[in-house]
Amino acid sequence: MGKYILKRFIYAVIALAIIASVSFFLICMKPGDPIVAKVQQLPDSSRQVLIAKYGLDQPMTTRFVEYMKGLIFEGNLGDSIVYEGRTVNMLLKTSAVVSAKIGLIAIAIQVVIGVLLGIIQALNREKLGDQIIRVLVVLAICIPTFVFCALLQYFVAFKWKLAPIMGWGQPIHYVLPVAAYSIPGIATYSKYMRTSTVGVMGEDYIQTAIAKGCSQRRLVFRHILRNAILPIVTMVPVAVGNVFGGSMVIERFFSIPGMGQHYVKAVSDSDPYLILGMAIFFALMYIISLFFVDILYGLVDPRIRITKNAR
Amino acid sequence: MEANSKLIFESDDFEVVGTKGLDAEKISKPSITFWSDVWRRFRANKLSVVGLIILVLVVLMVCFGPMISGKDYQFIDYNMKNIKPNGTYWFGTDEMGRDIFTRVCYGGRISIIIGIACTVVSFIIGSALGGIAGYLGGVVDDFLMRVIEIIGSIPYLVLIVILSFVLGRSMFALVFAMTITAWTGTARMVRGQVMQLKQQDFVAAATALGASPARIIVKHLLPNTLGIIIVNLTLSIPSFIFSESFLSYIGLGVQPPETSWGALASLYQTRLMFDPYQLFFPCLMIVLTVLSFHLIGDGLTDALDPKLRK
Amino acid sequence: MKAKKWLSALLAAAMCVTLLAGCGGGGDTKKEEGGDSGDGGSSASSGAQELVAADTADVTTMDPIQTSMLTDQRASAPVYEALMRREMDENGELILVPGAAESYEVSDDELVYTFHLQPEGKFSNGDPVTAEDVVYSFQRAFDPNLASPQSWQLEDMILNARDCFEGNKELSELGVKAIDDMTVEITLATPNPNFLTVSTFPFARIVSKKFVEECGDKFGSSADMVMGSGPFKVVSWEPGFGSVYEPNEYYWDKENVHITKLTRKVVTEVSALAQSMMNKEIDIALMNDTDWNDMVDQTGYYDVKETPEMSTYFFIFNCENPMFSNWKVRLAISLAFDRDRYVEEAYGNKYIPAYSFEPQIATVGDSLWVDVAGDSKDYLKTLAEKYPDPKALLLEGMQEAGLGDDPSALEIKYTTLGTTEAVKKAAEWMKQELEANLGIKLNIELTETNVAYDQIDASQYELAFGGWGVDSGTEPWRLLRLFGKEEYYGEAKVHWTGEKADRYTELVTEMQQIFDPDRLLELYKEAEPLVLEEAPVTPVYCSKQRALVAKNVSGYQAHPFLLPDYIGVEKTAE
Repeated sequence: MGKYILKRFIYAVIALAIIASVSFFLICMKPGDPIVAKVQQLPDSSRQVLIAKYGLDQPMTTRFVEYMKGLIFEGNLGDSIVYEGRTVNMLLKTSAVVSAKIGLIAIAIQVVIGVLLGIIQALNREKLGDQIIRVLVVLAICIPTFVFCALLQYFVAFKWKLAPIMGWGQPIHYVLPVAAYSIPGIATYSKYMRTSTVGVMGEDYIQTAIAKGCSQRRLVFRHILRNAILPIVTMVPVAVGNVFGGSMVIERFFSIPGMGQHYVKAVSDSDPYLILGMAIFFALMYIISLFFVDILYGLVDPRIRITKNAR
Repeated sequence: MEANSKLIFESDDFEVVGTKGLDAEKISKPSITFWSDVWRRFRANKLSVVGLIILVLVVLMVCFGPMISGKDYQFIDYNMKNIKPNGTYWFGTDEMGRDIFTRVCYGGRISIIIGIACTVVSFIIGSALGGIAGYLGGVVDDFLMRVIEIIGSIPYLVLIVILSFVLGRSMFALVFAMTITAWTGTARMVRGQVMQLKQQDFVAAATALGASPARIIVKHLLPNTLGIIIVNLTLSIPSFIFSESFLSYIGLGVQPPETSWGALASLYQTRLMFDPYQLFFPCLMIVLTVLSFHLIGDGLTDALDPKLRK
Repeated sequence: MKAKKWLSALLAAAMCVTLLAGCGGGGDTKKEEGGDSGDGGSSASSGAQELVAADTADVTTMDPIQTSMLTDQRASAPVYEALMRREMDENGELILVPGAAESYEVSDDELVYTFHLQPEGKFSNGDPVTAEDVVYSFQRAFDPNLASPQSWQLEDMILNARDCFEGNKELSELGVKAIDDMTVEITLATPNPNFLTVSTFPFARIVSKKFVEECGDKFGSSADMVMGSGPFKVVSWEPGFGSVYEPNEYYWDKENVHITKLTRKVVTEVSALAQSMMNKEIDIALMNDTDWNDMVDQTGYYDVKETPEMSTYFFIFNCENPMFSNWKVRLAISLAFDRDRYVEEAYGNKYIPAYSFEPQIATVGDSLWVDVAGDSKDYLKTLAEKYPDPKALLLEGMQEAGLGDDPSALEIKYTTLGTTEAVKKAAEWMKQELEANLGIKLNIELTETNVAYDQIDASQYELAFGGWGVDSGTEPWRLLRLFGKEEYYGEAKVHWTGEKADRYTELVTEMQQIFDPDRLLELYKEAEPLVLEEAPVTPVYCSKQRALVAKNVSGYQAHPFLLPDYIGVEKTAE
């Protein structure tokens, strides 16, 4: 196992290095001038000074080497151009936590409700309960997030005054964003859960368990759940890795200072090091989450043993 | 009665009946292929048939709607703005006086094409690479997984901006940009399934019988993963429709005056509190389409899954 | 009816999830729910005056010399003070009142200004404001390494400022000197009546030398890196969320500061802003949205003040492109659409249609431009009478330029400025109008704002859109100068050449050097028709500021040129 983790670590470092390099050159190719995003009515002379200040006049390779030096030796993701004087590390630290808080709560809700709904559907396959949940699930998946946010904001917050329209800081401010974040996920998880539960229920060992006179409760939790949850287990770490990216739409609607807003703004401002820093951070989270997926495969499914594959 | 008492048989007591009788014993039902069996089981699922009917209706409406309404989806007539649905304007008009019915039909063409094109592309690439990675394991798996990690990590929005700049703001560019990273999800899913399945006895049996890896992946492993893949597919069509609507929301989607359901929803969402019907219709169409794909997907899952075969 | 049912079904589902979310959030959610009602907390405490203001874009810096976006400037304004302050008198005229300087004297040749600092002037950490800090602040503004994006507005006024800014002279040679601890002397290059006004601008505001040197290049980047001598200090500031201010207890004029806590929220989504305002959660905001204006006004909670701004938006033709080399083609396009209808139908009247480059508030001497302009007023209307058939004009121009006589062969790429829904709608409107009226073909290319500027810079555009805002004064030359050869939208970007372009450049150069209203009027009257008829650029609309102030807030001065410092603002219970 230790050897396996070491190998994965080395791979992760290589992958990150490639991602950082590819992203760096991609971002340099991206049209748009960060200086213009910062100041629109700038005389050309001042503009030249700013371009020189941020090293944008240097050849791409020189900038790349400089950036990589800072990244490797100091863990420095660079400076934002639009946010004068702020480092990318600072911006990441504050906003990633905000996005993660909302996302993690939402994922917990999604998994619990999604799995339960999925099992309920599978156990009552083709019965009324199954059909109703199916249709609700589709409705939940079908509404674009921005429509959903607009509806929640208008009815729950504005009309019924059950939650604040927007804001951040108090626990009550979590309600609407978490709701908006959870719904599509609940639908997705319950859908996967239904399919895989139905599959598991067709397996021989379930028939055996039933024949042995296993109780319904024990059957569901010991035999079905453990086997049927595999697809969900492999999806959760990726979802967790993604929460650090936040959701631009939700954050924008509810005025939450999270990563999603920053990322879209950085891209539209062409703020090169901010985009790059975020991209590297997302990549790191993604790679870590995939690593956990592979570990979890082995833990959850007795049929897969990672150490065997890794040799 | 006479025959009963006869104990010695002559050769002409027998007639050649061929193997007809044996066949009749072996197959109790008329011979059917795999696909017709799928279709039969699919038909048995009422909800799925409803889904198929809805989808056909939506597609018909999207194809022929503009002709039936006889209006231009981009014609602005300010005097006709914000008219509620009526006999002339079936879905009403928007705040620039454009006919929403025609716009919804027109936008649907683009949304459906984007959803299907992206799904097909990411399905083909994803299941091929996922299948190979999962079955072969070892170095190949490691390599492909790293490639997936890298591709999945490249900043998607930046890629879209660059591609739309290089390839122009066309639908091809949009499909290309959206699938370039999306297949990785399918690939990981298929790989996980294949890893699980390849330990099972039927694969060992096939290997023992000398089947080539390609044959095992295509004939034995992929069919067994179809259930999960189809759920993935039916979920990915709406997710592509939404990706496009998100891109429209931040201004990177289809180029005006072209439109899509996502673009319409994003535009009419601003009128939610004033003229909710404007938002209602594009959303209704998205819901119907996605609903139908889901119902069809559910039906297909049950119909295709070898484990569920009755 | 159907829509409503559908909505309520959806919401029932949404509500279930909301409830679940509440439970899932853990016990804390429940406990604190009662305490917070999200109303800004104004009603709870009696003595406290807590004010909530909203902003539509994020604040990127609070270093006064680096602030260039309006939101940055509005966020920094309560923290820093300039030598003089601008405020509105009873007639709505802007006047200068003492700021960090108690008084000033001007030498007879109008070149030397001597400022006497407030004896009680202190930074919010208690340090006194000294002449050394003032000199340091001005030196920062012209430090080439800091590259202040705004200080060019003073660089031709203060002695040696341009040389310092370009790195040709040491900063110590800048015409800003400390005479003693409390006296500063500023020497101008040439007499300029605008100097005092410009010296109130953000980049000329005073910072503490000691504090800035301690912060280094992090100055202005977070709450603990911001400090000034203005009426308020920043207690917290989070990007994407907003900032909180409390009064500076050392401020020299603290008797006039009544607000005890000021919160500035960043609200990018207009529907969130509008609904919060309808819930009376926000006291002051700038809001101009076609869909929401009426809804918010109907609450009756706000006083709405609309003021035309000194900013004009215009189409830019790339005159280098053979399609636009002939002025008749450009003028035909410029006359082919109705600006009144454009602003009403595409923008719901949130702008003011422009028939010349001068906004309604432009002034010549003491009179409004529209009153003295005579024939040059709204000259595009005059041109429309002169050339009643734009299509004929287009064909004429096409033939002269050798483009044939088929207007549908003229396929124009229109590079938009931004990608928002409003921009899309306006572009679609323009496409239909131009195609119907001229028979040409317009291809919309949705372009992010900064990419559009990039393409204009590199002349990779055919028809583009641009704008320019002025906050320093209302003289027409501030906008007209832009199209002179060496200026921002000059030959390098627009490629307007020829005798008329040369003449125009002469005119705008002279405008910027003289102060005599009569001569200026003559220059304006020649330059305006010239550029409108040649049409390398053509004005479309002017913007207006729409300030909403809650009726229980008094003393707030809403004016496009004023950055609110919340001095004298009071909030009473409803």
